[in-house]
Amino acid sequence: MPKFISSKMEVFATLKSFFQRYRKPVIAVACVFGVLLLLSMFHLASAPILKLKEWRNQDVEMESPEFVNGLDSLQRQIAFKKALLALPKKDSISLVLNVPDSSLSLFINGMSIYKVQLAEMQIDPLLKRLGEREYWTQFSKPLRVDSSRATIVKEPIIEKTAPKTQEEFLASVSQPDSLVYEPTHIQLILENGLELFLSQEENSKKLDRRAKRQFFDSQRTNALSSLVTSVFTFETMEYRPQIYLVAPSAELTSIYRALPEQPKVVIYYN
Amino acid sequence: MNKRIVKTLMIVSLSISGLLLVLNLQSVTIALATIGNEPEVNDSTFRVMKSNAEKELTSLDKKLKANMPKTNYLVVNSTMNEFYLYKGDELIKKDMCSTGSYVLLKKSEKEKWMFKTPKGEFRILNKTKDPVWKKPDWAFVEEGLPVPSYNHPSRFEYGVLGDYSLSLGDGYLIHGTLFQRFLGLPVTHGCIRLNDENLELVYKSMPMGAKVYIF
Repeated sequence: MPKFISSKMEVFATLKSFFQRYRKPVIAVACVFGVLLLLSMFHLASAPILKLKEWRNQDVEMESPEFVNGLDSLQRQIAFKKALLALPKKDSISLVLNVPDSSLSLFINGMSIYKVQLAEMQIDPLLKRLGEREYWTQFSKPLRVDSSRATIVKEPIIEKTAPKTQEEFLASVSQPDSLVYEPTHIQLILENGLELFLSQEENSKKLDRRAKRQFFDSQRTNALSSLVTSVFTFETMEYRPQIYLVAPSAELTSIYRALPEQPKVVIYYN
Repeated sequence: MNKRIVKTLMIVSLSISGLLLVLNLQSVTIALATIGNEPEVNDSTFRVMKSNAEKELTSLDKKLKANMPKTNYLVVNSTMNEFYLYKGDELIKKDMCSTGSYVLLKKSEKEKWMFKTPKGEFRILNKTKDPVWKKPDWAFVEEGLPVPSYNHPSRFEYGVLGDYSLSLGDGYLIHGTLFQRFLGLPVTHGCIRLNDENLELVYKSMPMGAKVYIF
């Protein structure tokens, strides 16, 4: 008999004897894990329903249209234009995502000043299947960014101490180099719980791939810890619908650095 | 033997479907939770509603278009150090410029200067031909020189700003440069530098009050 079969059988025999010896504790542990698995599944399954319920319970504006079948496309365009008109007029730069146009733009005082063509887009299934009423409650107005994180700094400040003499100044003069773009991955969490990911297109270098992995790994860890916390604390897990967008690094850097700390975002999709 | 194979196949297929269900649990829940259509209305009501919606859309479009500047306007990308000169929707010129270096110059805890280009909407407040640069304090501090009195002759430099300058307020200018090889790089003290040809084009095509958007 070949060696690996004999070793496989040995392992099986050891497991069998272990199970026979500790039958009750093994069953108890399995039951605990089973219950935890079921609870996790329950939390995972109920999270989007609760989010949908939260959005459905939000009041629709007085001037909202009557939602009827067949007018969704027009009504979504109206919601988009209303949201654009509701953007702040006070010099604040806002972000506009236009999915049918595959573009991400910067708006200031009602004017589009910069447009980036997106290379890739992924929209959460909850958003794709959203009814007209819920769409209107969420996207007919600008949404505030509650928090954000990114792999790049907002302002690339370089601190310099003033030279005491002209000789010291001449010795410190250096030629400016070309523009350097670091791996760019950005996460914006909006007031309604929606997460907007802006990720750079360039991923051929090892450094780029590592930065992307680290950024999204920490995101996955956060999601997992939120699930585990909700299972053990019996609290509801917050479902965060996600939109994932890909564009060139330099253009995403321009967009991120142009936005204020808590910018407004307008989203339009069909 | 056949029964055993069927049994194994059933267990395998059940396990795979169970696994798929777990993996797509949220998608399945979403699909189930969002079943249902908007109410239907009769044809004539639908036509009226559609026409009303189209009218509303046209009116909103008009309101949005009203935000477009009536004169030529300039957009400056301070990250990529590029400028875009527009006439309405039409892009007249796109080229390199130089903007703030983001250097924070510290003389002491109280005396420090940040060399960054401000972001937002600005207007051309003043236009000057053959501008003279009146050097501010930081220009001396930066070079390790003593700061002279307010109107000392050493503060005035001729020809360094190019043939034209356009003021955006608070001391920020659009001007030319002697260091044209640095165009496209963030090297300025907050002003926007253009090459001679672009500076002339911007100077001649942007009237007083024209809008400049910096991001």
